[in-house]
This record gives sequence, C-alpha cells and structure tokens, in this order.
Amino acid sequence: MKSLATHASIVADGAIPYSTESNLSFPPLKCHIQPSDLICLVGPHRSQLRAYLLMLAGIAKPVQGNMEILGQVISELDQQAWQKLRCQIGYLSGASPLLSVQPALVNVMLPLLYHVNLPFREAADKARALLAELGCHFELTTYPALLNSFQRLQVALARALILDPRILILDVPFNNLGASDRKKMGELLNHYKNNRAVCMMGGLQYPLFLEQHADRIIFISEHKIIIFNSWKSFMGAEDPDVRELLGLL
Amino acid sequence: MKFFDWMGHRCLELFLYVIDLTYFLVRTLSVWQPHRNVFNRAVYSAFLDQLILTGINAIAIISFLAMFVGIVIASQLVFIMASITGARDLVEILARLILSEMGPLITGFIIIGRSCSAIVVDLGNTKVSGEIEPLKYLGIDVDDYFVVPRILSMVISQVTLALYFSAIMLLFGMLFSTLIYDFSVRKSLTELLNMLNINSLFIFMLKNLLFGLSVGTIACFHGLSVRTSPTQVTEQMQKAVVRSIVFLFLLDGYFIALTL
Repeated sequence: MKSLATHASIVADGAIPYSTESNLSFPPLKCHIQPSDLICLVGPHRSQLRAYLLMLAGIAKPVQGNMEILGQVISELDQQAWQKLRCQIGYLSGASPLLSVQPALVNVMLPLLYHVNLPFREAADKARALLAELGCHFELTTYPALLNSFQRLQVALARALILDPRILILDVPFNNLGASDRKKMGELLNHYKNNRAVCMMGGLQYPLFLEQHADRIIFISEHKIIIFNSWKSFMGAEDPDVRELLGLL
Repeated sequence: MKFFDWMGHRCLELFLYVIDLTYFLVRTLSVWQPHRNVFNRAVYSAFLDQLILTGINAIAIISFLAMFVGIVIASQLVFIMASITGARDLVEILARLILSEMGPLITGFIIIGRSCSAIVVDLGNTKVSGEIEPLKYLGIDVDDYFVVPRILSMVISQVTLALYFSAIMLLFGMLFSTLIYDFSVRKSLTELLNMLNINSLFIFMLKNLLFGLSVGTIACFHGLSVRTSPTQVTEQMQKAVVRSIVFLFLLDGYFIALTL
C-alpha cells in the first residue's frame, strides 16, 4: 500500500478505533501529525479519548479507515514489525505505573536492555544521563513506591524517551500534579518535543501549556470530531459541545 | 439430574483448563518466533532474580527439612524393616523411597508453597496495578520478560533442589541408621552408588523437570489470569497452589506407572 503522506509521523484517514471499554459511538478521524507537532485530544469521554489515543499510538488497529505511523500501515503489520515500530514510539501512560519490583534506574534501563541488549554499565550510564537531563535529583536506586507522583512521572518519561523515539504518546500527563509540577512537566514536554510528533490526551488541567505549545486541539465527542489549529480558536469555538466542555474548566 | 449437570460442567471446565494451560505453555516456549526476543540482558537479569528467589533462597529450608525428614524416614524404616527382614534391604528401600518419591515430591511442595504462590501474587499485583501494559506498549513481550524467566528458573530450581534434597536426606538417613544399627557407612554408600544407574538418574531428572515445568506454568498462567481486582489475586493464588499439587501427584502417578 502506498504511503499516504511520507513526511507525516501519524496519518489517520477516516480511522475509527475499536474499544472494549466503551459503548460510545466513534466518529472517523482524519488528521496528519507532523514531526514537532504537539496535538492534544480533548473531549467529554475519557474512554473514548483513550481509544483514539491507542489507535494513534498504533497500539489498537482501526476497525475502519486507515492508520499510518512512520510510513507503516498499522493494519498490515505483523507481530515482528509491530514490535519494531514500538521502539520508535514512546508511551507515557496516565498514572505512570512503573515496575514496582525494580528501582527507578532499572525501570529506565529496561527498554535498552531488551531492545538494544546494551551491557548493564552502558545502559545504566545512558539512563543516568537522561534522568539527570530530566532533572531527577533523587536517589536512582529508589523503588517507585517511595517516589512522589512527579518523580514517578519523570522516571516514566525517561523510560519512554530512552530509545529516542520519533513519536511521543502521552496519556493525561498533567494528572495528579500540583501547579509547580505541572509547570515543570510542561517545560520538559516542550523541550523533548523537538523533531518528535507529540500526541497527548487531556491537558485541560493545564491550559497555559496548551495555549503556548499545542499546535492543534482535536475535540472528540460521540457525534463529531472538530480539529482546531490553535488554543485560541478552540477557546473561541461556538459549537455547543465544545462550549459545554469549556464550561467545565 | 443437577448432580450430573454439575459433573458435566466441571469436566468441561477441567478439559478447557488443560487446553488453555497447554496453549499458554506452547505459546510461551515458542521462543524461536520472529517477534520473540529472549536472548537479551533484560530477560537474563529477570531470570537471575527469579533463580535467587526460587532456588538459592530456598536452600536453607530445604537443607533443614532434608536432614529432619531423612532422620524421621530412616528411623521409621529401620523400625519396620527390623521386624520384617532385619534391616538387610534398608539402603535399597531408603534410596528407592527417597530418590523416586520423597525427594521430588517434598521439593515440589516446598517450591509450590514458597515460589508458586509468590509468582502468582507478584504477577497478579503487577497486572492489577497496570504495570504490564506500558511495557507492552514499549514493545516488551510479556512472555519474554515475565513468563520465560520464571518457568526456566522454576525448572532449574526444582531439578537442583530435588537432587540436593535427596542427597542430604539419604546421607542423614544412612548416618542415623548407622547409629541405630551396626551399619558400615562406606558399605552402605557403595551399595547405594551401585544401585544408581543412568536410567534411574534420567527418570529422576525428567520427573523433576516436568514438576518444575508444570508448577512454573501454572503459577504464571494464574498470575496473568488476574484481571482488574486485587481480590482475584488471592483467588488465583489458591487455584494455582491446589492445581499445582494435583498436577504434581498426577505426574508422580504417571512416573510410578512408568517405572513399575
């Protein structure tokens, strides 16, 4: 199959996700996400947004339409190709559950040890350097249960970035964070956005970040999908469903 | 009629369980498939962790039990044999009982109690807290990282611990027998070594390998069967422990039938 757009990192062409979590209806999504784009999915139903996010991340195959990630059609990938593609997509999940039986450092090293098979010392050095770059000033041999939510998020972000992925998928990155931690997280995301397609879900908890950095806001509800080219146009939308969502802020 | 309904339902359930378990084992051990990646340092490190937890950490309790059970079994045997044959065949009976039955079974029970339950709780809690999903999204195969190291370490631990357990038990059993009867330790040991042949050693190894494989598979299968609720962890742990014991006896029965 011919690539829909070679330069785009993620291309959804009338794609409808499959979801076991939700009985909501899913309108088709049509969008191109380029490198350095920061796209934010917002809407009234979290399970619905999650289904779209998993589809855009290439984790769930669309039930209808086409999904292309880094030039590869998701529905045509076999298990091996899918696994290789995963190395190029960093995924940061909402509650950032790290492996609780492993210390923070090992959590970050894990993708390197598994995919690249780097020696332990080299993997540890690389993980330490990345964690230092992300501003982790705590003891790296600490287990995740003893870290606060922001520290856990930093470690999870490091784990997502350790393979230097071209796409970064974020599932509600600002959830459970205080005001100053949200600001720090926003700065980190902005820093690591360079040459990466960043696709995040939620983010309305920290509107300032979306106002400053979001290239597009994709509003998804049961009946429609509206793509806004800026935070400003999203805020000025006259659609009643969007206004209702904004009214909840 | 209800009884037969219930029986039919149970039989069907058991049949499907065995199929599920076999599929799980075959899928896990199909490491040659192109998407599988077991030869890496992440899996190696997980394997070492498991080997320490299942095998090395069990040495103390295994040693204690082996000494204790060896003495108990030997004293009982000496008592029984003395009234029948005058304890002439004691070494042979002791070796047969320990090598083919007691050693593998008691080691199996210790491993079920210590490690099978620990694996179910570990995997179950990991799954409930959503720690597995993000790894899958990062392209890390669950079977490679979580299941293969656990099953492999279980097999190695069962084989080596059973061998160690049997040796200690035999040694202490014989030493104790020499205290009660006028046995020559050297003569008894020579007699014992003469009794051991490749065939009996092969059956001993195969039996323990299958014990370890079945207990490891059942533990991982039930650990990963936990869905979203923490209450399922204890439920699956109970099932895993009971079913492991049943499988242990079934396999043991099969080997008894094979060696008769």
